[in-house]
Amino acid sequence: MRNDWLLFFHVLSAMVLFAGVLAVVTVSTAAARHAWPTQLPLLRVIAFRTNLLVVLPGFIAVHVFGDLLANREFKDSTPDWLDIGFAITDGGLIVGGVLLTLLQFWVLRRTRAGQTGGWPAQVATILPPLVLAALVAVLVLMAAKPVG
Amino acid sequence: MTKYDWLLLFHLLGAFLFVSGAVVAGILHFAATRREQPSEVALLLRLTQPAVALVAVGSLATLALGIWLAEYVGYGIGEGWVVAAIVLWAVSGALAGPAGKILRRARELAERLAQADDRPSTELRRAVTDRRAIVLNSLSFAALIAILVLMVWKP
Repeated sequence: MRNDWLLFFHVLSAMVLFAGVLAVVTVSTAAARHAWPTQLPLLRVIAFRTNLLVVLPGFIAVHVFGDLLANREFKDSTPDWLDIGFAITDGGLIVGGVLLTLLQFWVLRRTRAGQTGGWPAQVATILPPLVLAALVAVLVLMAAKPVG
Repeated sequence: MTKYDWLLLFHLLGAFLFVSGAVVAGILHFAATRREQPSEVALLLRLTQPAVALVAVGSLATLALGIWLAEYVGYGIGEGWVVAAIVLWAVSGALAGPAGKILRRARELAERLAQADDRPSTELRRAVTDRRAIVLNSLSFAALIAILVLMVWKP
């Protein structure tokens, strides 16, 4: 696969990932602040499904295409900005992809059982904006390449 | 960081907001098409409003900083791929505008029905699943992907 194709799919998957996290932030914030109690399961199910079907595959795709691209462009040693970018993305995959998906599944089950509050719901609301901030940090690294 | 780095960074941030806002609005619209209760449809379509605002901010930032960046790097806005990207940007906006109006009417109808008796309605179903809005939004998104193709390959 030529580098242009890899770059295209890397950027496209990054955009889809960013969009997925933004969607989760939107519905999680709405669930915490604006929704009627009867609407909470709807918002929690959208947050869970978006995390499972968009964010998790997005993290994997952006990592795979990024890795293939890096292997072609930096054969001997990788620069610091790339290593830091991969480290943040890996952390994002674990926290924002895997753990948040499991947490949202748990929160959805609790919401359906009538338990709308508690720390799991609070964490499921607070985490997505932090994941989004981490993605913005990676974007800054990829665009500006500030170190190394 | 050099001036080029700053321009590229904010151009990319604008592009990410542009595409992400469109995808978020699409996800929420898709979810709304699968709901029957007017209050739920109204909630989901109301949530598309901040996403649409991001599309507006992102699209303007992408265009302005993209032209600035092209001039700064020395491509100039007369280059074929730059002209094509600007045309696609305009086409994307021209397609999304009418789709947005159709969905705004659907949201207003959903809000009225929710305040009345909040019962499912075939009129609301038709309004939310309006094929024109779906086709226009899909074509608008395809134009965004075409812009990304141009930005990567610069033919």
